[in-house]
Amino acid sequence: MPTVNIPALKITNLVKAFQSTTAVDQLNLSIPQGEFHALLGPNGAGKTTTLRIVAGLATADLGRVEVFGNDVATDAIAAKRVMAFLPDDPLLYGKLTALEYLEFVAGLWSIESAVAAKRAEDLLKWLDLWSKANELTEGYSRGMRQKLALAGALIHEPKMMILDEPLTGLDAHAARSVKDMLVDYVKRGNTIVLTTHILEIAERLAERISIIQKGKIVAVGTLDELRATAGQSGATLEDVFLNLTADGAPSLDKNADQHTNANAAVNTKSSDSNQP
Amino acid sequence: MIAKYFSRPSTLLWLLKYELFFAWRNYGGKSKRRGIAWTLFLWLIVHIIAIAIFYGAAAAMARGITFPPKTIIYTGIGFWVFFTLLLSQTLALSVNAFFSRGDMDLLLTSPINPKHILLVRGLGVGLTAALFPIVLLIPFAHVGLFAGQPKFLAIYPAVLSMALLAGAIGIWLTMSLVTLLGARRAKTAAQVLGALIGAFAFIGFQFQNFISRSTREAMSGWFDVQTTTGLLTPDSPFFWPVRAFMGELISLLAFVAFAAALYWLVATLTYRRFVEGAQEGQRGGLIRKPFLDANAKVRYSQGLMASMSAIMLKKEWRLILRDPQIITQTLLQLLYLLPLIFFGMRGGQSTVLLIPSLIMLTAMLVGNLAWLTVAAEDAPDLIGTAPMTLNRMRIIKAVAAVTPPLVLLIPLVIYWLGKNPLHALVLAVIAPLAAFSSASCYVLNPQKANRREMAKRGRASVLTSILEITSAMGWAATAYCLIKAPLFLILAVPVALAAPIYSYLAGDEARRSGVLT
Repeated sequence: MPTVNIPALKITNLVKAFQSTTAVDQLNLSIPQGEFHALLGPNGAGKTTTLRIVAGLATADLGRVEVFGNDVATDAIAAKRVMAFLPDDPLLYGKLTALEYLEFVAGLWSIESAVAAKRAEDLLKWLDLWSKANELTEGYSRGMRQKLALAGALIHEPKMMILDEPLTGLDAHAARSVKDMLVDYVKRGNTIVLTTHILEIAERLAERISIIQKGKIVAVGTLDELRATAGQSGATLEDVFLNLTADGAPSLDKNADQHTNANAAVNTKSSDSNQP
Repeated sequence: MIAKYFSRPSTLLWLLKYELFFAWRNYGGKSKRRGIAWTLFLWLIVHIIAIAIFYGAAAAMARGITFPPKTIIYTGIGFWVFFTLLLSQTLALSVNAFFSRGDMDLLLTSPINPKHILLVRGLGVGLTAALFPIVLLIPFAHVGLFAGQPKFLAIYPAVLSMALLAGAIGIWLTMSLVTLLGARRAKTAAQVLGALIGAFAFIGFQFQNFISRSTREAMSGWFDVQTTTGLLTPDSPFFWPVRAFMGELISLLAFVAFAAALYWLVATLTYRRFVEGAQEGQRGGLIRKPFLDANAKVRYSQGLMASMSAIMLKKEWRLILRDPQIITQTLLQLLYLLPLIFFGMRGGQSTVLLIPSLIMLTAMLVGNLAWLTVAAEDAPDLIGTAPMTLNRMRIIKAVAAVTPPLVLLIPLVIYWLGKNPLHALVLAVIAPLAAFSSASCYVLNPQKANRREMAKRGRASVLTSILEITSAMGWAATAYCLIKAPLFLILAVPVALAAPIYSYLAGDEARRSGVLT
């Protein structure tokens, strides 16, 4: 059972600048364990930078990021042990086969070899890659590479997955099975933080949604809460998103912070209403 | 007339025009102007050298000095040795040009005759391979014309025929490899074969040093017979290409006709295989084992071999072993080293030079491997998110890079231990130091690179390349000083240590950034 008071991810006053551009600006966000969370924002809003800092792939200039209570700056190994990061265009090793790739990833997370072998087999069969398991991945299509990277992210059974545009390049069948898998993964008490430009995915899958613009969270909450924030009762997520990220939209920082803090200690959710 | 023909799309010349246009656009890479300036400067120098040779030869002949009758034989043999190097280059280029170029899909889906595509691309390969001799020989045609010897204009068609001949043999060998091995394996095989052909020419020069005196004399006798009454007399067709370069009309016509006919014949016979190979090249990757059936079970390494470090090493070595470029390069270095090792085994003064040479080659090979394992890591995000410190990761990658070359040295160390313990000790101690110094250029000063750009890695980071070579030379000099001149260690050791010290200081910020490269 997850420890109730520890959020899966807690970001406090995060700041990251690249020369004169502030990519992430005093960002605060708390995601409870077992939540399917979507992080939305226009291009260049700071989503990927934030996720890369969480994953330990970039260092913050200021602020603190905790994964299950482990500070990614001071206790990176403990934080990394419980999460997986899947970038939008995952790079595999073209000269390794799918099985060799999964053996390598499992080894990085110290998964016992017999367990890793069983999981690799199950994942490849489930993702319909079993017949290609001994082929070099250089010959894989984009969708196949995406599925294999997903298998790599799952093989060490992380408690939290950070997914950057996970459905890019997948055909309809593969996209559906991946979506089902993600929902099932969350039902088992795990956490997902996902970015996507396909708002329909966020609308159907995510229990809570954060909207990020110019490096700040401008709104966070369930879809109904976002509608209330935007003053658009009954609107689609697309309408709400466009309203909240439009130039000249009212600053909602304060509102966002209230939502963030109010939800920080939340651990149980009424999830079914948002499931596909 | 020609312009009108060019304007007709889809013709052979139209395609050739575009091939040349693309080659021109790609020439010189990012610093195109500098590339052109350097080429023109080199051309000017070669023109000056050509003038000197022409007037030197004219002055010699004016004094009544004549060239010995066997000059044509030695020049002809030199031509064919050089041609093997050209062929080696052609092979290295051809698989890429035929099966890897991104525009092959577009070309093959167009209504252009595939034979024309093969003809144009093959010519492109031949001309690219022959670029160096073209730059080197054409000035002699110009100088010859101004010196009242217009027959030297024959160099133009002769050098083009040489490119055609190299292209024809290159296409034939490549398509044979594709038939035997499939398009994907053929790429590796062609690179290795190209390297072997190139090394063959080099080792050929050294051959007389390996054989006994009696064998050498017997071979010399055979050679004399062949050059006076046998296959290699000055009139032999074997030497027609050289005569063609010198402007002898019949030889020139024969050489041009032979090269063009062979080129056309090879293209006609192989273009179907080319299309099949190109289609295969676009399909999936190599299958390393048969397909798994539904009931097959996966078995991974267990125990110590399943530890995080072992898994990392295994992955790095797998990728190295499956990299055709690094295999070719290593094979070449080893082949070029063979004569040196042979002399070293015989003993004498050459061992003193062999130890530093071995150390330098080891360091340079480690540089290649460290670049591959550290800078050219394909999935830095995956490595960066793994629960292992980046420092540990970097150490494992350095070990992956230094181990293979050092393992290759072990038999030599053991051999010299019995013959000359000092030499063995110097090799055993300095080679690992040189290896880790080379690796430090990438481990201590992380930088991002693309595995596919290995051939251009020197240009991508000039400073790192200079440091790498300086360090290798420094350690080689250290080894020499330990054996011969210990006083000079005071100069050699600082040079050897410059690379790791600089890399440590310069890479401090990058190492702290939280990413591998």
